[in-house]
Amino acid sequence: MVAVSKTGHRLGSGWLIGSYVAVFVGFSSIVHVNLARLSPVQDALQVDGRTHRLVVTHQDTSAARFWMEHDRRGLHFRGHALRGLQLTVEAPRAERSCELEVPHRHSPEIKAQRLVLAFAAKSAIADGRLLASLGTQPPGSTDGFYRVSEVKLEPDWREVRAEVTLFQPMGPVTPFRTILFEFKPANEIDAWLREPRFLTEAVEPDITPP
Amino acid sequence: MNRDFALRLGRAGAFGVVACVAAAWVALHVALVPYLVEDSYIHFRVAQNLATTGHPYFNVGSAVKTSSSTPWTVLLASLFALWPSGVSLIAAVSACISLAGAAAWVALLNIAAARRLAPWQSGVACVVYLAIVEPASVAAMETGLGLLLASVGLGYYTKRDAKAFLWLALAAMVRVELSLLSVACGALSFFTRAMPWKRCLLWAISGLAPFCIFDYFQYGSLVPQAFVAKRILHELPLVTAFSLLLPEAVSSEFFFRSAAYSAYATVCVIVATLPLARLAWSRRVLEQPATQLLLVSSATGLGIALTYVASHGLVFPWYRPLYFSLLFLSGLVGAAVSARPLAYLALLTCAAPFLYELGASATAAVGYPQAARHFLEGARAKRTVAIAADLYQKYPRAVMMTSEIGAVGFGFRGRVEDGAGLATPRALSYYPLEVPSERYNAADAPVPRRFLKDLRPGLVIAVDRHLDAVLSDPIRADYVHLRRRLYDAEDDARRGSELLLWDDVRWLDVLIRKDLWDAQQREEHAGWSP
Repeated sequence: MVAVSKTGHRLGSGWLIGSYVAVFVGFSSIVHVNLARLSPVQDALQVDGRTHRLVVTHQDTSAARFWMEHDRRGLHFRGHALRGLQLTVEAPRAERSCELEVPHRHSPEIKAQRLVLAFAAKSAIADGRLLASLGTQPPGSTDGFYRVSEVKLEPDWREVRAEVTLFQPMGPVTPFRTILFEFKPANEIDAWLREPRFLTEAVEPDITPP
Repeated sequence: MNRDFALRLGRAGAFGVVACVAAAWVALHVALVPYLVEDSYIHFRVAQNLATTGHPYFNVGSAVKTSSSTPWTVLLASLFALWPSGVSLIAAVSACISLAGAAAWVALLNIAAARRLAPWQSGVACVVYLAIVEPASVAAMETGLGLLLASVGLGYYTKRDAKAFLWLALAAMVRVELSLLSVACGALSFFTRAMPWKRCLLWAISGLAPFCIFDYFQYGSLVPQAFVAKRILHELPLVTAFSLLLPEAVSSEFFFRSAAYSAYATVCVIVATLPLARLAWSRRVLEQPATQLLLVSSATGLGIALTYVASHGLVFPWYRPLYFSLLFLSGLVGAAVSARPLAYLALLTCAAPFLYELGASATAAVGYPQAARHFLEGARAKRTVAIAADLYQKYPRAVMMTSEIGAVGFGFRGRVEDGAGLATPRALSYYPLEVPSERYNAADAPVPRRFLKDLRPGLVIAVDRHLDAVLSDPIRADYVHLRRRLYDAEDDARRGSELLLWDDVRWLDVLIRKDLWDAQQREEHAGWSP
């Protein structure tokens, strides 16, 4: 345990390394580090059988107060002090998928150029509202957001389909690049989203005269 | 002769480099004066009141210890007495204090290593110290002075001079957290019987007594109001308290941040304890200055950090140097004793978050203020000072209520009622406020709706989220509601793509009681025909 040198007693390297590992584990337990949170699939979602990766590009606080995880119920948002959250869909990744416990299907077939966002949401906390907007600008931009829905969250799944009339009907539809979710009031959040559909490619509108 | 000349040339060159760095450091502080943070202005107002009225109160006539550091208040008051509008002078003095702190650190390391450090080793120590202390120093907060006094005290301590406790006591009066250093030194001194404890106690009392007597006669209490208020105002979860301990450069908006937090916190523990752990312990080793420095700095640094976490305290950036400087001092003593370049390299790597933040401040000082870590807070404070000063011109006799008293109090020279209780203790009787009906989260300290209803101040100013509850109350009908932009046009342009996605956090809400508003309107339009 303790090495004895000519001049005194010195802690053995094994004990030293063990102590530091214990310190790391202790700190990790305080900030809730776990393997699931380190998994690359945590921030993924399934759309049409493909796994997309969502990246949080902005939230209202840089402190460790908020978590987003992908579990078998959907995308789980949990934390507090959140006023908004901007997500960006990155290129599909060939990672293992995490299928939903109850596959969700949006009822009618969507018209791609009108219905731009659909998702289901629920919240463990009553009286919460979820505002969803779509952004046309790169992540981080404050402009170019279209408010597409505002729903009251409830303990059961609630399907949301948001249709927007785009401002440039004669031209190609601008591809939306980010989703902005705002949870209000900004306090404790414990909500799930699943199956958000998100147009990542430009869609040519139908301009044939009737 | 040639050798002498080369030696002199070398010294002159070294002096020139040090002078340039010092000048750049002072210039950095002065350049960032427009972006001082909210809490800087609290000290300024108290100090200005001390300079002009002889009492260190936030509101003239209200004996509340709003400033947590009497020596710092006295120093600022002296500077304001010299130059009443001299905030730049204060910034320059703050810069000089942190430079002196860096020099004291190097002197300590020389004592620990029992030799003169090589210039590059001293340079590394200075850079690490300045990078750690920079958030407090640039904000003109008292932390730099506390650390300077603590370093001087440690210097005396390593020489077994009981005067050490005078300096350590003064450091504790500047920042009460540093009293842990006095305790650690006292305990070690008692254990090793290095100094007669009566003399140590005498010196400590002579450092504490003048300020304690001053505080008692001025406030009737020795406890800063912030200590009372923060316990009531903020209810932080453990994970938040822990994450606030670390430099902001460690935090990330991505997913691995919790692992980064625990990894960096572990790195800091290693920096503080590895030199101690690698010592071959014996009675003789314990009596060496290096060992004593290692013990007291490591124990105090970890002790302060643990106290913050255990008390679920809200840690501001200018608190962090109090423990990080001591943790890194321990590492630097280890490096100085070992004299291995690799040890210095490892320390520089560990200090990377601080160096990154120092780089951001340097960039801000050369014309890109938006690079500063607290640019938004500073820009907001600057704008708030201007709006509050404008209100003071129009309503000099009105009572102002706000949730953040610093910038408002610096601009509005009249009476300011503090919704967060730092300057107005009775506001605390309205806490805890309910979440979410009265505040956004348990760390938030807005204007309590019921306090405003009871007091009915003439003016109210706060960021929008701190007035949400008030604006949804019927009392709003008694006030004219004005919205002012949170940033001036220049800073708004600089902010550019700074990530603020929500319109409702871009405003300062101003409420003016209707009778005041009407009287002002009549005055402005006196002589006009209807």
